[in-house]
Amino acid sequence: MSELPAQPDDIDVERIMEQIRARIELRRRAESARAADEAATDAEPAGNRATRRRMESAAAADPRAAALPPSEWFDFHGHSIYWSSRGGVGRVLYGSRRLLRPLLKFVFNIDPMVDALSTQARLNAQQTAFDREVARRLAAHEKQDVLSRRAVQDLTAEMQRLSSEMKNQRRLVESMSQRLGALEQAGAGEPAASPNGDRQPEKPAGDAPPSPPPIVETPPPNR
Amino acid sequence: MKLAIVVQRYGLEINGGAELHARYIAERLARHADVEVLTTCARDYVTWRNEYPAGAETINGLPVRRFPVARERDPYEFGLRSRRVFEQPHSLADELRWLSSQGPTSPALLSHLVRPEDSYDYCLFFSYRYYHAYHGVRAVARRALLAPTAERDPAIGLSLFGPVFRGVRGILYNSFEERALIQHVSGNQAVPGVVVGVGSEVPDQASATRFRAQTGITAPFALYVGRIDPNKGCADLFSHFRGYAATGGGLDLVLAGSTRMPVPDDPRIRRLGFVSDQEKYDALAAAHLLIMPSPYESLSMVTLEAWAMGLPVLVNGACDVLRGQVVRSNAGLYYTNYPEFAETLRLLENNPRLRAGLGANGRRYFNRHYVWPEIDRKYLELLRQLEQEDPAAAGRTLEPMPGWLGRRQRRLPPAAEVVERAPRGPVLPGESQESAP
Repeated sequence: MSELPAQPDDIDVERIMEQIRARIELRRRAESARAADEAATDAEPAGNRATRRRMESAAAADPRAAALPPSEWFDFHGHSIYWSSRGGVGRVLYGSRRLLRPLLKFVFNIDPMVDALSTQARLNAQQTAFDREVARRLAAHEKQDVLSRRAVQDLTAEMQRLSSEMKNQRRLVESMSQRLGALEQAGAGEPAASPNGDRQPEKPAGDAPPSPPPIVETPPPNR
Repeated sequence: MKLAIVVQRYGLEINGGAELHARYIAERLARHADVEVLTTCARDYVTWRNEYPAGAETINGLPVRRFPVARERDPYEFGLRSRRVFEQPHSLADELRWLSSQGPTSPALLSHLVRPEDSYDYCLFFSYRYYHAYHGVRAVARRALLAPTAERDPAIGLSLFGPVFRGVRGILYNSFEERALIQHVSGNQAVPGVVVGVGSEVPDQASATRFRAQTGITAPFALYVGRIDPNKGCADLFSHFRGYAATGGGLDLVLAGSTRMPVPDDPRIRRLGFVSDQEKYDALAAAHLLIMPSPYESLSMVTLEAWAMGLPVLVNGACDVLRGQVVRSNAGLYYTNYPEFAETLRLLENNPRLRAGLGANGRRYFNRHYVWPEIDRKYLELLRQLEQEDPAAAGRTLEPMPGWLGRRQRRLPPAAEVVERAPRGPVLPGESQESAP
């Protein structure tokens, strides 16, 4: 962050924030590349663990999970149906309703309904907990997906670079092998070493045709 | 001019945002008008239990009249009703029941407002969401002013508040973001309004040395001032800060305020508890920066106080109001996730010149928009404008309540959905129609 403004009038918060975000993005890319490298050499590298921890903490703060209602909203118990919200009058009503419960039972049986509602309240609470967990995992997966996509893009680019490099290497090998073949042909009629034991100097590399073998004078054999 | 300030709680020891705001405004307006404060006997905003004696008293030279709360809040009932109106299609009757269950239900206060012998020229209601403001505005609409102190939470999406926002004589907004949100959900562009906020008295003798001597804190630190509460973003603050500290961050975190949640047992996190105003300003003088992690704010007074003292701030960018203010003032940075938190905090930690520059911008911003003479001017200008205006001629009257059947038709959308559809983001320089905060 070398270009930070020195004077109050020059300060632009949005520009500083853009620089900060750019820096974070650079660091994130470097970290994800490092994590990918470590993943290639280690089954469970520390970098991956750190990345996963970061993703999980981000997922915990996911707004989808925060938007779900708290579980206590689903509280329901056997006496909830008699409950009233009208303060003191409500308490009297509550008492009266409970008192008249046996009379109510002459008309219909309230217990199955209470049981059903209790079960429903429990299911609602479970469902909310489940939804919260799903939201958490979804957020984690989304983060993972972004990282994976970037890793795949980086890998594709790397593969293209390697493929191009391999072609160049292949051409080089072919060229070397042609030159070697030519050298072998040229060397078929000459001695492997000079009389004093030194190797003959190699021909300079190049596309020039091999020169004819030198004429060597051999001493007459002793009789 | 006789003016009533109507607020849910009032007292020197009550330092909730809207209540403190109301007290400051009442004390300032008393220099220009005959002001009386109307409030309840409640001290606790969760239960609304009657703790102060009903009747008249004087606080800081101002007459205060307290009225009893008829029923305490039942959290179970309030939860059920909140779920109904925030999450499900519902009726106006459901919303009215939600309002009653939220409280503070004080019919005596409403009766007092309409008594002819206590007729006020204007009644300034604070906090749109409470019983006293809704029913009070309906009772004296032609004399009602409203300081909504609205945040981006589901309550602002309830249909019952639309006629209130459209029917008052004038609205005193805390920020451009608040005004944009209210205008979106209620369509009250025709109602005279001004973005004004609240001022602050910053003492000249704040002393960093005194703070260090009293607390023994000598290491550089970032300061949080306010209720330590998950709703104020403190859970994320702790988690982010511990991550920052574990990765080499050099600042400590000092917390000043009452505690409503467990604070991590970490030597880098220091808790001061509830502090006096003097101790708060001393802490601000000693801090490197102020952190404001709350995702819901209509106006952060401590942020303004930090700017008044030339201190940079780091705010939660999820809060449109705070983000808008730091962008418009160029007096702080913001974060929306952990990496941004750590990076911005490190940047502020290691760049004293940047801190000084941001702090200087903050002081200038405060002096331009939040000094008391400026706040007074805006209030008095609005009152003068209303004196000359005929609300009937302007075509603004409070819409009548629907009939018995109309109130019971379940055709209203879930409030959370209404708020979700409202535009997000700060109002940036150039988008606001006036050069105000």
